[in-house]
Amino acid sequence: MAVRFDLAADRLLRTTDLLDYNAAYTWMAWLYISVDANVQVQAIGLNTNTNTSVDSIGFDATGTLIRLRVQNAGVGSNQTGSNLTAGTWYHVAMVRESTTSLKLYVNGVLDITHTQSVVGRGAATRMEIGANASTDAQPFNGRVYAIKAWSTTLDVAAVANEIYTVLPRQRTNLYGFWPCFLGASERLLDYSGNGRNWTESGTLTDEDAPPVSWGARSSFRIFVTTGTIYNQAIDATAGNAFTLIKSAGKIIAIANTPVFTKTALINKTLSYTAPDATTFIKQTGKNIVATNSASVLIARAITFIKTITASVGSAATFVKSIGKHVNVTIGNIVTFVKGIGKTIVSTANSAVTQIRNVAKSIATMVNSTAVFSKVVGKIVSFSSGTTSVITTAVTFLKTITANVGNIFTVLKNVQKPITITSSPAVTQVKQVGKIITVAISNAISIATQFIAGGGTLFFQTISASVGNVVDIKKSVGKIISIATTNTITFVKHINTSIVISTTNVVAIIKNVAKNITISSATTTIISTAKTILHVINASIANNISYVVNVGKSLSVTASQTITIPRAIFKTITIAVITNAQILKGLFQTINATISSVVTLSMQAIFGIIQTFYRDTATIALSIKDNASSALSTIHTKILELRGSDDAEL
Amino acid sequence: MATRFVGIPFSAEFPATNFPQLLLSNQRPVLGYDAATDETAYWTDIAPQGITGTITLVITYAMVSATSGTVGFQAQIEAITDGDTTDTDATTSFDTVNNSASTTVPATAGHIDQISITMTNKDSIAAADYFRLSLNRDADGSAITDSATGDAYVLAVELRDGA
Repeated sequence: MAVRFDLAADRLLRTTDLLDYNAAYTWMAWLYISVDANVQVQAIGLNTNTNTSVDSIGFDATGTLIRLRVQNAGVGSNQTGSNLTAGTWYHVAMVRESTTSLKLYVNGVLDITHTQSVVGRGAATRMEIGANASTDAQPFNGRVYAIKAWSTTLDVAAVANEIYTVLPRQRTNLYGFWPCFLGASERLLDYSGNGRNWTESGTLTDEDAPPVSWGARSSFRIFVTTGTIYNQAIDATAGNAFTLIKSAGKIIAIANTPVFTKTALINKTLSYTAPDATTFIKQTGKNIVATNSASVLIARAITFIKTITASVGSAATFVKSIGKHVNVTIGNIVTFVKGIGKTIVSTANSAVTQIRNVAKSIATMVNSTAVFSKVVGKIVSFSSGTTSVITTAVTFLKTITANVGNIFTVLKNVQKPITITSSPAVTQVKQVGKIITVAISNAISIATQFIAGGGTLFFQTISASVGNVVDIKKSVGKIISIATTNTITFVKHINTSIVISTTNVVAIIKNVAKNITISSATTTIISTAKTILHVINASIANNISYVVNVGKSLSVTASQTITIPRAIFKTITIAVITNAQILKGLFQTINATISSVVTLSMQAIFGIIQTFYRDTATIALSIKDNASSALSTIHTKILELRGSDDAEL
Repeated sequence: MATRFVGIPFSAEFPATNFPQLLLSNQRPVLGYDAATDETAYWTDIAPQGITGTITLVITYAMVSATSGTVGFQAQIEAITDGDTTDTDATTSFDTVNNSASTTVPATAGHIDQISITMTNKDSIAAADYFRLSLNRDADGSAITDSATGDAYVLAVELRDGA
């Protein structure tokens, strides 16, 4: 709003810190003649509270002919210019260029140049708008708006530049500017920051201002264009299509199906939520979290140095080294084609293909398929229906645990225990460095030769339980316990005890350095010429065939048939319905009890130096020659034959 | 929708006559649109790259004193393309007026309301066009019922497109 002067006393006044009207200055405003009083007017001026030392803009006695008044201690004059029209806004500017030049511009055009010298003029004591001096001389009846003043000269171009904005364009040497906003206090305020407010005299009011813009700049906005660098957080929400092609220095959060193509480095955390499809083709220095059926594809050589977590239904393909943990859960398919430096956890229906070295633990769980073709440096755990295939030369340095229903094929050296439970099928074609435990219906097959000479050494216990078939073609360095319906075939040295129970069939074709205990309908065949150095216990219904020397005691009980083709250096005890055939020299006592039939070979007979005892049962002795055929006659030097029954010799 | 232009009172331009006064309302710059006489203000800009689809003008205003009645605004666009024959120093070429609905003012003076005008007539504005936006209050009710008394203070205008 403009300030309205309609009474002689109405004034905007300053009496201190004034413009120096004897030096360069510029003072301008918009001016409007409301009432042409046809009298002289001093509208805008500096004075000494007199009419004798003055710089002022006013009108002559016509009330509309603009004039510039300069007085120096009473010496001076009024210079007139253009005739203005009442009811029309004009921009006026009074510019002192020097002590002998004061110019008046009207609407930016030079209208008056006043050359009155002001050398020696006393300093002004009043800077006022509305009339001259405290005497209210020559009052102005009209409006003033957008008052601006500088303590310097503005040339014609600078004056023109200031006309059509309230806001000063030139800030240098700005003395003050007064926009004259509506209100008793507002109209007095200096907005320059110099605090040169007006003092009001009389009763000022507000009326409409001229059509002058404040002069602020147009609206400022940011648009996404090619090659824009973002250094602030960008949030894209529902349904936005968003393309960033520059580095993002801040967090980028994208939600609700945006399409995001990022070809530059991302060095902040990226969070994606369902059902985003995201392709990363640059290095990721931060966590990548893909959730809820998100697909994450890293297509170029990238080093991941942070944790990657893909959950529910996510398909993640990593073609480069992953330096951090990879967690794949529920239904995820994870393909690793490079070395993974950190733990990989694959759960619930995950398929994990590891074609490179895995330096960290891999845990593959429920129904997961894992293929490892390189060294596994850490624990590999397979559980619940997991199929794990190690197809190329891999050294497992850690425990491999395969649970229920797992099929586990280890084609390389296993340096750690292999524990297989609940119907996995395990094929061990290389050296087993640790305990192999096969439980419940597991089949363990060690199928190939490893060490020169064809022997794979088993250094740990092999336990095969119910229904297991264990085929060990290499040396077993530890106890082999085979329980319940197991079939064990040993084709190499066994240098620890072999315990075979219930319905086992044991074929030992090499040296048995330990006791062989055969119980419950077991058939034990030692089929090659070796020395049995320990006791062989064959109990109930066992049939034992010894084709090599038995270096220890041989106890045969209850319906056993024992065939010993070589010398027995120990006691042979044959009990209840035992058929014992000793085809070679017997150097020890043969005790045959109840219904035992002992067939001694020729050499055996000659070798008998012990007493032959028999039980009350009938003993039929048949002496065979070296050819192991039955002898028709018995010739013996039986030193003594004891028993309750007569023996036919 | 995407914001393509924001006009504030300090950036407004005025015709020679019948224009809203630049005022401060609690130190907020506003354009005071008279309740009886249609008054017009302009904003000038260059149409941004990518401008597309439906153009909507959103006017943020508050009433200086009215707590009832309705207010109506009219908006126009003058878009001048490189090569157009509009003589900018002699004529204007605003497209047909787009009218707002007759909108009930907030029940409390000083509370803001926002009126949207679909700029159906947008002078074929296209990217890179030099354009002006004209906003006036239909205070005389010639096209829109405007019954609220006192000035309508426009605090800002926003031009949106369909991006």
